Amino acid sequence: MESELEKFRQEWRQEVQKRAIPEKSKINETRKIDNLEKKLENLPKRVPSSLGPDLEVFHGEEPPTPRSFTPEECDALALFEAAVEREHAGKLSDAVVLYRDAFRANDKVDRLYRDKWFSHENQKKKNKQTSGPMTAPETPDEQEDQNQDQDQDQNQDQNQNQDQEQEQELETKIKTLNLNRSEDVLPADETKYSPFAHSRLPNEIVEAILCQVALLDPRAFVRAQASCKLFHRVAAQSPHIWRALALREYPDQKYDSEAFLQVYGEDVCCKDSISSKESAALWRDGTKWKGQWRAMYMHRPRVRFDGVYVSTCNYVRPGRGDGWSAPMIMVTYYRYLRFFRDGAVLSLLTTDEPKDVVPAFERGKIGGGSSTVRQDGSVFILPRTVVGGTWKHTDSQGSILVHTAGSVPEYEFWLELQVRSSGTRRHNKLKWVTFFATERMTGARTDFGLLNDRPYFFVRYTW
Amino acid sequence: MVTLVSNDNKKFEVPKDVAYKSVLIKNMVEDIGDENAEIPLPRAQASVLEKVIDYCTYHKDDPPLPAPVQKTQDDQPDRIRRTTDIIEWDYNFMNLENPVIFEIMLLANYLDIVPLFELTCKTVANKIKGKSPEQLREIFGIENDFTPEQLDEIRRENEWAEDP
Repeated sequence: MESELEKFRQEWRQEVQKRAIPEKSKINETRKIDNLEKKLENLPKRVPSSLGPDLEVFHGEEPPTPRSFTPEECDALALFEAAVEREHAGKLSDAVVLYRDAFRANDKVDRLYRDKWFSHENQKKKNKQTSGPMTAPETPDEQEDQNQDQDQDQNQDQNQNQDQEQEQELETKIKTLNLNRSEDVLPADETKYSPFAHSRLPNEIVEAILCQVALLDPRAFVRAQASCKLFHRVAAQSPHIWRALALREYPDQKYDSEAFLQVYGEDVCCKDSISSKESAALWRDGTKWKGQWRAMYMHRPRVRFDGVYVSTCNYVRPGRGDGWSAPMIMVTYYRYLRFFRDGAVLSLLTTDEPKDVVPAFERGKIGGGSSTVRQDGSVFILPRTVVGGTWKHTDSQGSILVHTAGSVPEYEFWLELQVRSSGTRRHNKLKWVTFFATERMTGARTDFGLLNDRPYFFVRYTW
Repeated sequence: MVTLVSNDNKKFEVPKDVAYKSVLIKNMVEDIGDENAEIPLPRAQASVLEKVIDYCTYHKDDPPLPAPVQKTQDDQPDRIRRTTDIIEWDYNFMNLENPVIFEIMLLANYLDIVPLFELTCKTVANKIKGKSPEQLREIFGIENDFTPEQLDEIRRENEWAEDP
């Protein structure tokens, strides 16, 4: 029984030993170098220069290094060492920042650090091992991949074929080793796992991803910037993304000839390519954006297509009744406007609430009548007074003219509005300028008072 | 047939029209002038290369992107707008773990297979869409490396996008 237990123990130790320090076959070795090179190419090359003095103070004496490090590894190590020093000094938040930078520079930096500073403790043991599977200094695995498991299996097969003598040798070595050593070494699975590994993605790839996010949903793009510094930096520094966003919106703004001249200048013809036209607008004199795509996106007036503009109007009128007991009636009605990229517009005046109207307010719904079922099972019918029309900018300052059919066929309606930015939002408000009707036959103009009308505010909606 | 060699020395025999979906390989073969030469791809893992070849095989008959659009960066938004939708085959093809998607993305970028690169970007973009920064960090294993003050500032500068 005793001997059986002893035998099991030996086998177990051997197993642990093999896992801890797998022998690298030749192919594996060359592949590792390839991977290392590949990895080094992708490494962000940034080391805060301010760290220099600290390092000198703390690491005056260099320990005997069992192996040499590449410059990149040294950079990572320098960061890591600075982090250790801060941690010892109690400056934890500094330390965390440095640790993170160090791991970003090299995700195995903790092992490098151990190799550099603590490996001499194991040096004696290693020196004994002049032959056999442990001759190679314990270099950290720079890169793991899916073939790792396979390699290990091979290694183990090879190991099993090794002769008795070597096994004996191993066994004695294991006895001298602190068993904790084997726990120090991370299991292969853990080193293989890199969930996102975005820090090794080059900036141009992060930019390409964020550009797609921006085009998919600008709000998601903006939110993603708050997730980590890499995203934020790339987003802030990428004129390409803001240009893509601007080119998604401005070419679809409709301008009358006067507005076109103001926006693009005399040198631009409407047949020019989209990008040359918008570039001309970008560099126009006297603009707030002065060649900055982001600033143009924020400041150049535009109507928005990803939602509905809603104007909520309240007024109070006296109800029927006698003397002092006459009730006051609070009336709420809504005006809805939706712009389309092809220059079409939908307009509606109704007492129906936005939660009903907005989802139903789709292209082709002129004349209303379509029914939608609410969540509670009741049915909403879009009013028949939905009218269609056209819209365009009449100057470069955000003046919009909306022209729709009238509530009766004899008239046409004209809304002069002004695109504004309200609060922290952008281009989310349409201020009334004038509102009038013209008689179709005579062209006679009738102005409406704007006493009760409130500005339109933008509500985002995805149909 | 073109023979591609991955960094772990696996060889893939690929029809010319499939291999030529990669602008890099096309240029290499044309530079070498020998269509039967082996093309070493030291940046390509066999498992990832296999996926990329799958993609190229399915899409081998796609019309090439119009030349001016492909060449000038200028008209990129037009192209992006046209191809926002992902076809079903591509969608299923991209049903992979994030690390694999990133490997494909890197390889597609290296091999210069523009539609595949864009597909991976769109796939990741779709994963990012609709997520809060916290969720993003969790999903992608990103760490929050901002100080609370920095986060506040970013939130302020980004308020404009948070429409009701």
